[in-house]
Amino acid sequence: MFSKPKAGVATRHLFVGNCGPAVGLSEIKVKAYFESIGAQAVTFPASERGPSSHVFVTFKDTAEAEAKLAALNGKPIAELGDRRLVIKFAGKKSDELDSKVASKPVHRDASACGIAGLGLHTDFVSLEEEQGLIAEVEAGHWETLARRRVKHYGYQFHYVSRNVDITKPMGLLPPLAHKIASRLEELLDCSFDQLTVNEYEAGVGLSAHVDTHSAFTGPIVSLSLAGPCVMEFRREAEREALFLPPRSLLVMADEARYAWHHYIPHRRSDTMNGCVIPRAAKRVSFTFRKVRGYPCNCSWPGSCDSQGGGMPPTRMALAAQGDSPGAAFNSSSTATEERTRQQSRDVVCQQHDERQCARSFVANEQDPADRCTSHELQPGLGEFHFSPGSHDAQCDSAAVQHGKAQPDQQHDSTASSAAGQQMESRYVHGVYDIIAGHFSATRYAIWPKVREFLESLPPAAVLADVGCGNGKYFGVRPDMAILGSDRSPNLAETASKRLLPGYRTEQPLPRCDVAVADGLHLPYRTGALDGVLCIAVLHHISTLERRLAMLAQLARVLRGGGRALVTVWASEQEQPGKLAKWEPIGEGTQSGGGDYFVPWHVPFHRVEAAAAAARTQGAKSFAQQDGGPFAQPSEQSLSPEAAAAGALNIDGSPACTLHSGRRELVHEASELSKTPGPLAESAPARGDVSALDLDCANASAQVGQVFPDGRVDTVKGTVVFKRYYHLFDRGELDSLVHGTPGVRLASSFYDKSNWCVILQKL
Amino acid sequence: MKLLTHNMLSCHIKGVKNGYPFKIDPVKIEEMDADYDPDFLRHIYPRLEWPALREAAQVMGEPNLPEEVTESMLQNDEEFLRHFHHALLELILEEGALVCPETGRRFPVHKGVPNLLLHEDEV
Repeated sequence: MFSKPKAGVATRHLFVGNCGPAVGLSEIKVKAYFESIGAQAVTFPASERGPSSHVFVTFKDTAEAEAKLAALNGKPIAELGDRRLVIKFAGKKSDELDSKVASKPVHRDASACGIAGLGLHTDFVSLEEEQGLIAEVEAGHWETLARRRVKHYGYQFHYVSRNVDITKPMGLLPPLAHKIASRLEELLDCSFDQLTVNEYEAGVGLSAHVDTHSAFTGPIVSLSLAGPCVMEFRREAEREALFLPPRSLLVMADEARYAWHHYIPHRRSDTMNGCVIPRAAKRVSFTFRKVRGYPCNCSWPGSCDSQGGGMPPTRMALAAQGDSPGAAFNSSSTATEERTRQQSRDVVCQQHDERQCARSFVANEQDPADRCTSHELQPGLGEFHFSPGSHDAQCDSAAVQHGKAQPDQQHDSTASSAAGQQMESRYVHGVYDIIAGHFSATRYAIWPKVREFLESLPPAAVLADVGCGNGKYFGVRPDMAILGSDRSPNLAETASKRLLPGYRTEQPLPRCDVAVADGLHLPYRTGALDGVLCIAVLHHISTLERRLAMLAQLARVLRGGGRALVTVWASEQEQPGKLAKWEPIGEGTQSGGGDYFVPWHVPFHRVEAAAAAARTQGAKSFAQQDGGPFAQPSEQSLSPEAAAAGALNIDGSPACTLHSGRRELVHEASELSKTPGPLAESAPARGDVSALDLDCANASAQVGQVFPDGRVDTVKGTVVFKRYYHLFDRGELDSLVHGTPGVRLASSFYDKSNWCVILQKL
Repeated sequence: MKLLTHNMLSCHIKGVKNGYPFKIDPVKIEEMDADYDPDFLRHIYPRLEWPALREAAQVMGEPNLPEEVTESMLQNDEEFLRHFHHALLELILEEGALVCPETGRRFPVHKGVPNLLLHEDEV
């Protein structure tokens, strides 16, 4: 982890700006160049926000780094396309930590650490027993982890879930280990039934962790064999270090076991009170534990997975989830693959931290579109009843009945337009701008029908993807020019990241572009385009008149013979049950269909949720009660009514948009500025709060934007936003096409709870 | 934003008659390598407004596009095709503005993304 060093402090690490994939310099090129001038390491910052525009370069020592900085800063570098680099010194966190720990004493006596429950028994086993134990486990299967190999007895420990499957005991420990376990039981007055053997080579350490609370009960003990090491312990800002000689037994109980992280730095030698102690070629640890099989109820909920605390998912768990939308955004992805991925994700979930999973994936449960294997398909046709109702609904019925819509005769178009605009601004644009990051992360499946349509277009076709979201269809036809647009600046931004060279593992998209634009006012010249995609957009338009206006726009920009694929959610849902959960607006329509609020759940750990909650005091205090990630001291208490309801309205008011970026809060003249202190600053680091950026620059460019209502759902651990949907009845979309001048209905079909049409410009 | 996109954009403010092409006011131009594919250029050519591309390319630093393009140039004039390719796909307007030729309304381009949302009084 690199960081900004103290002003004026030279280090051997350099921050090199204007350099990296984001500015068109490949990692290989950059690495090769710096290595050619003597760099020891070239580190590209890991970023979830696409390729970086800077790198960190480490030299042998500070003097060399200083010399390179002086020689290269601000000068054009021929090997890097004459780019001028911006170079500064960088700090490195681990260096600082190392030096801190090195300057702290390394204890030989556990009691000197001052950690309750920590003990060390030297010479716990004899030399013969040491050799016997190592020999006993040598044969048989070892599991290979990233940097060490491990072996389990009694119960298998699963690194993905950081837990054991208690239903699958593997029998007794091997004889000598069993004998040691018996000795432990006498010493500590508790039993042990699980043994993990770790074999470390010199230089290899152990990442900081607290053993999963729900997995094991009682003390955790670890026997160090063959070589010594210094183990370090940390809890918040506290650090302690303890020397573990060979044949010693480390005991971690109570606070030491439940609240302190323990780790072994990855290094080849330990420095102990001025002496360098090289690590042995091999160190073997025997860790004895007792599996639990029931939730933990310890006094340290912050690090307890049974009590909502604990650690973020492991890298292995994330990998198993396929948690990279970029990787998943793959033109060869099929619905089946997506389903499999979803299932494997669910399995992982059940295995580990249930509470955390419930939070992470509750949105998937709730929002059908998440779970679906295709674009915005959503299951669920519950029981629903409609009666004559809203103004808009009457117009819809009329349109369906007449085949041709005549909006001007139906109502005052100006008033309707204003009301429609307000509805969409609040319950569509505003919501998507807030949830953009989370929404985008759930959108990667390529819908076969869309692929089919795209593949039917001519070579080098020019296509507008109206409401492109995160741009997931950009790569389907790399030979085509795709002009993506979205009404939400933040969604447009997520799409624009795909265009950067080296975005995740995707192929380059040199013929795509993104704009912020409104589908009702498309910024393309008339007759310019071969095709239009308008997927799951029209159902967010809240009046008939405006829906017709959007279709007219799609028609206008198409050339003669050009075709558009338009899909909308259907009233006729494939899977029952969901519709009943959505909130009808008004009274529905005679013909079925109608207007709904459909919830979007953002789990607490997402930065979007933190940002939304940051806007209100109410959410703050409620989240605090919940012990959720926004928890912070607050005087405010909840009304009993709100507590009883289990939900609290967020009073959305400030006009301001959110997108990932730097950590800064910009307040527009609004109620937000009255809120003392940005909550985001104090939100714990479980979500990617450092990526929080409330930036009003975008919002100020928009017309009359208002914030949507959000609601904290403490049961599900989410912030819930309402999205406006108009669900289409059978034939309704067709009749809209019939009501659009200059086009013909080329085809019309139903697919996975969506009504779809292909219209062709005459 | 690439000039390919610029070629397709038109000012859509209500009542504007001559909203094409946008004038480009560049603040930061980037160049990005794109795979050279002459077939793509041949296919896309008929979809383009050539004078608009040529004019925009000049502003963006590619002054070598000819006034007239002939079929034989498209088929086998490698030098021309390279310039065409460069202008169409490799010049990126990273920061700046698109300016409506009729009204002078400026649409900002930030991080390569033009914001073409209209104000209330423009629709």
